[in-house]
Amino acid sequence: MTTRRGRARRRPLAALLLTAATTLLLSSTVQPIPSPPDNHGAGVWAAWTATASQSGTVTMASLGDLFAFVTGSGVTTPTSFTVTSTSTTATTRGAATLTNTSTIPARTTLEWTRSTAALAVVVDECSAQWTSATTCSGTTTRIIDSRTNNAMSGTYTWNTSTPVNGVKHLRVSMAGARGNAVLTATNTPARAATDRTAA
Amino acid sequence: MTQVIDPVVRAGGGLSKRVVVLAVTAVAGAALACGGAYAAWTVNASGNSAVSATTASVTMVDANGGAFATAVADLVPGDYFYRYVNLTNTASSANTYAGPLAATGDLGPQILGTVETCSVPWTSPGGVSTCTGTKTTLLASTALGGAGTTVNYGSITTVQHVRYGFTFNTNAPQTLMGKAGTISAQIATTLVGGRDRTTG
Repeated sequence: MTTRRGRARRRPLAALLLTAATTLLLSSTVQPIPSPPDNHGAGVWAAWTATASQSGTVTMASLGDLFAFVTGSGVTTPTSFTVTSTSTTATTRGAATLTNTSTIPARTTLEWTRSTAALAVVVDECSAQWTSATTCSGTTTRIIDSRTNNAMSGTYTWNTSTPVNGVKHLRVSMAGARGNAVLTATNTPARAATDRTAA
Repeated sequence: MTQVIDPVVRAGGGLSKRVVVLAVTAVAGAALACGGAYAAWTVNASGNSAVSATTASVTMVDANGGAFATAVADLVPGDYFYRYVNLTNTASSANTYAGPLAATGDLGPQILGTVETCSVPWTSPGGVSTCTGTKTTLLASTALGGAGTTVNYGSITTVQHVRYGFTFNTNAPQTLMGKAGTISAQIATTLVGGRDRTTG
């Protein structure tokens, strides 16, 4: 049996105990530790770069040739040599040089045409300059003769390459009819594709 | 006279005493927690470590004789050539590199490129470029015209031995005779932070 007096005495003690416990609880409350920022700069960072480079130039070869009139009859353009015969009986002759203007040695092919089948066309090459339409200062080689197969046109390709700025001394002779003969030339690289590492 | 003690009251009196003792103890504890002058016992510990910023640096040096700066003239269709460089990572850490391989100018669209690496320096016994180590193809034959193509060199720790191969198109048109172009290779690395470096 509990007396009223006993209960009355305990109330202030209980209140005191509650206050003390609350004080202790508050004083020992764990405060949150600030965590480090997790955005690390919000995803935008300065970028440091390092670069290195190398470069070089390349140039494609150029192929070309040039006719130049030397002596006798005939007319040249940079790309052709035309000799015209105005007689049915006389022989017409004209000399021109053909220069390899390519940037590389070239294989040269000479194309010829004649205007009429009655016109015989002969092309001779002189190892040196033609001093006149009839005189070669070196040795002569016949490279084209339309009478061989009686064709109206044909080609002749030199077996050896022509060096850069190399010159061929040509003479055209024709007879038998009025008409003309036209020479043109084509150069192709004398070498095959190859390793150019050493340039 | 015999005093009758109410057992409940007595028991209650004992409880009250204990409560008082507890309360006093609690109050004393609270007082200790809340303030006062106390002896301070201090234990300290500290740590430190060095941090340093990385460096980003790379060199691209000619190697094995085929130098970019050496111009190649008089190309004909089908011609090819090689250029050798050593890519040296001079940065303070391994980095990943990439960059364009390009051919510009009139000849650009007609130039095909390849990129290969060798685990050891390239050699050219008898004029034939050779890899005596492990050869890896980074770029198969690809037209380089325009902006070129990006080559991924991967991670370079120290040196990467690279051979660039260039081939002039076998069907290059005659209209390009005498025309020029430029070949170029560039490598770059970009270091961006934001990485977790807790472990070093």
